[in-house]
Amino acid sequence: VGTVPIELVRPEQGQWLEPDLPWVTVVWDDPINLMSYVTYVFQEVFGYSREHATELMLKVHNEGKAVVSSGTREEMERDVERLHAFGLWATLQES
Amino acid sequence: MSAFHRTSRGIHATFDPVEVELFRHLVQEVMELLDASGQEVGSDDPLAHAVGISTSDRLPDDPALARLFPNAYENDAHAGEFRRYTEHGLRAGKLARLQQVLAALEGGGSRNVLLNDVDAQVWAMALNDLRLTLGVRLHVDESAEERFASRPEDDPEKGAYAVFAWLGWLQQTLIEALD
Repeated sequence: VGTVPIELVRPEQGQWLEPDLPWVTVVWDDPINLMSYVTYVFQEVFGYSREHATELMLKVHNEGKAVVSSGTREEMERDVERLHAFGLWATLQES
Repeated sequence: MSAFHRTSRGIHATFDPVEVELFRHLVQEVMELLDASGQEVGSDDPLAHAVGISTSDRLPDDPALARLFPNAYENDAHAGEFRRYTEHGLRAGKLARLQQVLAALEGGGSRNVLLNDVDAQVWAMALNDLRLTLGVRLHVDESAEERFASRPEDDPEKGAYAVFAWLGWLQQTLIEALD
């Protein structure tokens, strides 16, 4: 739902003309999301194994945040948008 | 009260009339919150609205909306730009999922809900948005359970926290059933 208009406008975001340096998506700890749900979301969004997803979830929980994916800025914006749809608190930044 | 569980026909749960009423009420409240915020930011530019560009680039003032649509960047200008291109679609997605849950709860009496895995994900996401909204309103943190346990029985927030805990339990059984 709603993805078509977003796809249409996305190329405009290349207007910054920044080089494709590696960017990362960071998920931050919050006291409301269930640990099981966060693990499920990492599996669904990234296709990670349950083991890897659990590891990342525990890192978020214990350390307050974790890098969950890396790639181009556009790819990380897509990841963050999907994570926001699932209700996770995610940001992107240059690595 | 019955947990979600997997059957040969799909993921199943039964809600008694009181639960149906409570659930529907909460879904409607959150939909109203999302609707109101959408009208606030999108109505002044019909073309932008039509192509899914939000005219708002600020973190919402309402803390629950700010949690549902957090800043994607630390940098305000970049966060604003991202918000302009994503918030409208994210809001539409959340509303559509809540609408789907609401539709399954239509009609009086108790409801049997039977979900395939795709629908179950919709429900898990919608339940999460309900929990985030209620949780932010109740200032839920790691010590919330303890804090609310000591409140008097007639404290309305204690009742709201019980609903929050119920939604968490429901979501947990749904995730386990999806496994």
